[in-house]
Amino acid sequence: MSEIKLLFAGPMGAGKTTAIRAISEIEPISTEVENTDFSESDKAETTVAMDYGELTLDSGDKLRLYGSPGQKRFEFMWPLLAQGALGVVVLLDNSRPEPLADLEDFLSAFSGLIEAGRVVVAVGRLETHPQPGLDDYLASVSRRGQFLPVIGADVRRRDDVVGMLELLFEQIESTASTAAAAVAAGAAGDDEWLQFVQRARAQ
Amino acid sequence: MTNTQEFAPLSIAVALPAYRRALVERMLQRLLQENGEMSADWYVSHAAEADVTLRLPPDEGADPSASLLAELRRPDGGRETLTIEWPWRPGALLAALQRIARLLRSGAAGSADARDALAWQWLRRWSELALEARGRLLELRMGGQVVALMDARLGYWYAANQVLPDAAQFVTALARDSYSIELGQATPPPLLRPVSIKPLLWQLGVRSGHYGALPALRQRGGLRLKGWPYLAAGGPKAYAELIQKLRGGFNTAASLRDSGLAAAGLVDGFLNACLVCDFFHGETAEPAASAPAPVPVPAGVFAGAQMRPGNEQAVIASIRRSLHAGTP
Repeated sequence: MSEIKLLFAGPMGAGKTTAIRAISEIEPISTEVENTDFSESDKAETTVAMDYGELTLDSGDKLRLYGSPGQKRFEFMWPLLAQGALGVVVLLDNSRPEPLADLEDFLSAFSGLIEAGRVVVAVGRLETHPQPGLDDYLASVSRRGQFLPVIGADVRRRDDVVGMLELLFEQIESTASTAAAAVAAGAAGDDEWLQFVQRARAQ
Repeated sequence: MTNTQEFAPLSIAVALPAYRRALVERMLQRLLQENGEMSADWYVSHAAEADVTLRLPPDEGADPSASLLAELRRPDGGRETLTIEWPWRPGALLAALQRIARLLRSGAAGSADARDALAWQWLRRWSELALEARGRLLELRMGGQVVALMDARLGYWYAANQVLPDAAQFVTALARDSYSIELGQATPPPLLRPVSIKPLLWQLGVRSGHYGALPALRQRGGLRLKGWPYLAAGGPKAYAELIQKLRGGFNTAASLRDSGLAAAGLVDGFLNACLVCDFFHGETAEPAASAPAPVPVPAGVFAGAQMRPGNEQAVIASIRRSLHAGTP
């Protein structure tokens, strides 16, 4: 039996604990404490270290679901927690004062994983806070020369959480098949298309 | 072969008092009979919305030698009026018609609508030949010269000028010169470096949407995205919703248009772009739940992961099954 890890990242109040609860077979183990950092969020409790949930796969393996602490002062931990993860779902909250700045923080933290096609971004509370729109998020991503999916999602709905993961998996598979096609074509060293993708991702 | 120079003939109507109308119509018909090239370009029409309508200038109705006004209706809907001096002289009328034809033709090639139509025609040919290519390259000729070889399977462009044109430059060039795409040789030219053509295909696809879904798209039973069409990044917000829908299950172009997510032109443009950039699953039925066969992948691509690629495929398949098994 082996362990597989998925990380849910995002600022405070974006719904990381809720997303984990949606798919975990155990009640998430949270280190929720009273929130004393009202400069970042007005929620009553928040996660100071991480959330944890798990799902036993039909292969017998354990899928371990981690939620990173959202406070910016824990920024240094985000890439550390992502080490060895199959992928990262970044949850953003459109009702926060500067959600695009939040996006920038997480794009920087996970740039290596973005390059490998292992990050998706899901934006919540778009219904009540339509600005910035998804196109603004995509424009921010494009300006950095990065490519990754950005979708709207409501993590209270299990389907949305499963959809985010499906998106992540397809992204991973797509990256793999693009690279494999280059190998199959015998042109891995000078495959222009693969180089184009990798350049774009790496910029 | 699609030749952008092959335009439909222009229609001309005569809106003059009856006694002069008969005269001008006879003049026109004789001119067209006597000038073979002209007869392919023009026909006399009585339609109210002809491409060109001849009228008398205001306040000159009584002067039998008066100039005529030619009202031009451009393909983009714009209108323009030209004066035809000495219209009763066949040479003057002939020269005027030639000038008007050039004006309307260049307007047709230059208008945004016409360029989008050209993008659609070009992609239609591309997608037809892509199905037939079976390893052969496609040969793009412009102005009678081969200007590029294209690999539809890998999405490569081989040209002496190794810079891929942007869509606007490309369509302008297509409009200016006649073009054709045909099946060509099987092997890439040894001295030319391949360039990815997908950014160009994507742009052409997006702008072709006002002319509807490509026939190759309509022939597919169902559409489902594979991976993430990253070329859509930075596009309209509706792209994100279309992507979400196209990832959720099989859809058709018609069902997406009916969904009201976006205007039909935007939906078709997005679908055309995804089609020609090979972002759709090949199969048209629900894919089997079993994991695809592991594929060899360069190690660098997996910089962020612990698992070996083969294991990873199996793990993802297992997560999928487990998540869906838990669906209420």
